[in-house]
Amino acid sequence: MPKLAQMGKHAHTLRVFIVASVPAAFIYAYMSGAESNGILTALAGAQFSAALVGHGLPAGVVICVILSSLIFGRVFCSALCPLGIFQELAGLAGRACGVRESGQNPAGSARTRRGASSPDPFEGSKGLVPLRGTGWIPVDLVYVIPLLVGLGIIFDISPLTTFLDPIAIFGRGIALLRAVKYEETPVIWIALPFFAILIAAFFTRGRFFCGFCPAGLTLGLFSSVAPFGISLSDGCVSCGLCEKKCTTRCVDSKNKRVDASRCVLCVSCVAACPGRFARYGMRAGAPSENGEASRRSFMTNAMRMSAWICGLVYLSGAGIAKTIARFAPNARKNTGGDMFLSGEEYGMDYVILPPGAVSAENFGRRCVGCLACVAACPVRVIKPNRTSHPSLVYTDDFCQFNCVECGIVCPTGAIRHLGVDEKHRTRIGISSLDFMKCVVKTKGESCGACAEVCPTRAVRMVPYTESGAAGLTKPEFDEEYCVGCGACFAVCPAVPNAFALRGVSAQTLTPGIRPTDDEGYPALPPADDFPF
Amino acid sequence: MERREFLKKSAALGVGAGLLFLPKSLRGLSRLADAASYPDLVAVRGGTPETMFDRGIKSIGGMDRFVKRGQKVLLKPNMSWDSTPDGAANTSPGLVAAVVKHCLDAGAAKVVVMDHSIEFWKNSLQNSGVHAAATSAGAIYAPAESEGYYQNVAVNGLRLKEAMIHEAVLECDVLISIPVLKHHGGAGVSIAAKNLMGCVWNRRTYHSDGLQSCVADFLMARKPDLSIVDADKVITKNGPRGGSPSDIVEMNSLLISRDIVAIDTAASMMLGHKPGEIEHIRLAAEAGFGRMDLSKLNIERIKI
Repeated sequence: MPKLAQMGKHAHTLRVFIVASVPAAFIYAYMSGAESNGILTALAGAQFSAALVGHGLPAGVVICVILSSLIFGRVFCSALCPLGIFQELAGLAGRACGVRESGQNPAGSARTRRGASSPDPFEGSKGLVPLRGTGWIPVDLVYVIPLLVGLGIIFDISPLTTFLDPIAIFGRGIALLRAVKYEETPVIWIALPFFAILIAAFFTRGRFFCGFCPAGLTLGLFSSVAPFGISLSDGCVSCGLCEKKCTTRCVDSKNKRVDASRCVLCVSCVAACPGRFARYGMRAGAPSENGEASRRSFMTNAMRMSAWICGLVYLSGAGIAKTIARFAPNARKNTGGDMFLSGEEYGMDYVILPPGAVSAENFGRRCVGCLACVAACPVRVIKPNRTSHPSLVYTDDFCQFNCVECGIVCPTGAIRHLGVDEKHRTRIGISSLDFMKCVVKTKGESCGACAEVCPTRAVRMVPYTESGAAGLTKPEFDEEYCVGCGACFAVCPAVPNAFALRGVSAQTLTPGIRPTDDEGYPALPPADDFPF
Repeated sequence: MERREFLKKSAALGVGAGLLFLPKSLRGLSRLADAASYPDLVAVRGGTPETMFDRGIKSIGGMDRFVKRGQKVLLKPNMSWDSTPDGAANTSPGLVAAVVKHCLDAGAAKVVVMDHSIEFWKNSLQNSGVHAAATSAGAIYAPAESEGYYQNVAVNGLRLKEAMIHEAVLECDVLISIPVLKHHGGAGVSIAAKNLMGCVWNRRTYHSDGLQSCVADFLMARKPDLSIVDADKVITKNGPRGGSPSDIVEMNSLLISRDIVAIDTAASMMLGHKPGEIEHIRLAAEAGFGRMDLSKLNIERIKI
């Protein structure tokens, strides 16, 4: 098949062109309006880490991604992770700009050589993760990351998930660009990890973060035993070109081995190999097949074991946390969520959370801060707050009564997908009216803007008989029916605003729309003729 | 001789051409003459909005009395609410489509529909059904959801000194207000004059500067050439959004008039108000935008 062999030369270019559509579509969905919510729902919903944190092990996406890694290697990282692919593009841009990494030479550093001679793929460091496999550190330290995130999920220390989750890092980076586009006050610091990673990727070979990614490392455990993967076949002369191009430094050309746990199937090596010896297929030298396992030292086995334990903690963390949350929703206080959900920034006890967040407790536990809801909100009232999580701010608009878009796109289930009837009754906050500030009071003139927009008639206009002016009406507010949508606040013309909103610790159901009032209306003329 | 011949022939041609056009201009003259014989206000009841409009517009002289060939027409229906036609918060889609057709038949160069919706514009357009009905009847929808479509113009009203008005309103030759009749918690009623608030971007200034005055003041900037009030299903309580079926009364009526004060007065009477009771209608009458005393008007009442 000479033709197919020739294809290999273009394998990497072809792949990059195809998969670049993933971050491109993500960015488009984040930057454009609500009409791209379908794309956003599909892309965010396919993210491994978000599905794991939000829905736990039983989620279909989680099972599919783990199984695919177990058989075909890290195809998810190769084809679906927007952060990974974006880093790769940044790395390519760096190469195009002539950036050469220090120590990027065919001979490699001393540490690289020592790593390369190790018999175990888990030990074979190529310098991507400096602490890894140097021989004298007893644990593969980088696996501390999935361990921490896993423990973070179990013990509800959500900042750990928030700051190490790849989709959240990516989402917050794009949210900054979005804020610039829509002339909103950008929360710069929440996007810093994204840009730091991009810069690192630019100056290294790309895929910088993949060596630290809790999801990627965990998937790597599965891909390390996968029957399919990249291998260097007989005929390879160890020229080192593949090693030079590898974006994750997982190729050891001298020993003709590829560390499948770190390989993200970027296929740079396939394209780089002049003799087409680096190829994707059944791996000839999988550790389990060639008897190397028995030759491993105790230390190597221990490291390998601890890596698996760390990965499993990460995987089970979500499952356990989800189970606990289901059976004892208020059993433990969320230790990290409060940090994100304090309403101090807005002068209230709690921020106003998107409809379907259930409670500050639930939201803090599940939201990773990917800000897909910010991108999905058609009227842009969901905004990232200074602590990186989304909350509702009603300065320009208000939460639309019939809209449940944020719950549809949320990939972690932090915002439940409410039915429209349920949405109509879900109280996300509570308004209050200070009539002394109302223009009807201060100016003695008709207004009614609040009652006009109030979807549940919690605010209604009643005759303002005290004023003595005929036909003048004043607003009356009934807290019982208020859903906290902020419509009254958003439209109130009074300065200072006659309405004030506050968040609630748990979203509850209101009785619905307030029954109509039949008093205070003029009698209708007879129905059978014109009254004039 | 040749020259005289030529002059003769030219003269003959000129007269011929004049004769050709004469019937048309005579028809125009006659129309001008019997404009007074058309009713000031046509009130129809007992049909669908479309059939009532067909009947009513015929009585008031046909759409070509208001829309001339090649003119740009702007229709301002109420499609501000994310609510279905059953909710009666928006103008009936069928009526808007019928008006669009009449305007195009009258030779309008283009018919534009716009409204600065109150709830999320996309949902309001879609669920009101007005957008689909109007565009499939041949109208163009003018987007109105961002500030860029509006221009700040001087109004010099009593209270409304300037307003950001939609460019399509400023450009049009003929402005037609097609409100749905309903109760309004702040303004008392929402009819043809209140409907024009949807031509403005900075609505909040209306509320802070005196809603009633500002609604009347808008007419200083642009007075509609025709108003058509949809009073088929009417929100009589808890307006302008309504929300429960008990708020809605089926009046099966439609009003057409050039006089915005007269039509608003008549429509407000259908909600049980006395003339002059609604402040913005009274202010508009005082500013000379129309007549509030219906007894002096020629009203044609039609029952289908």
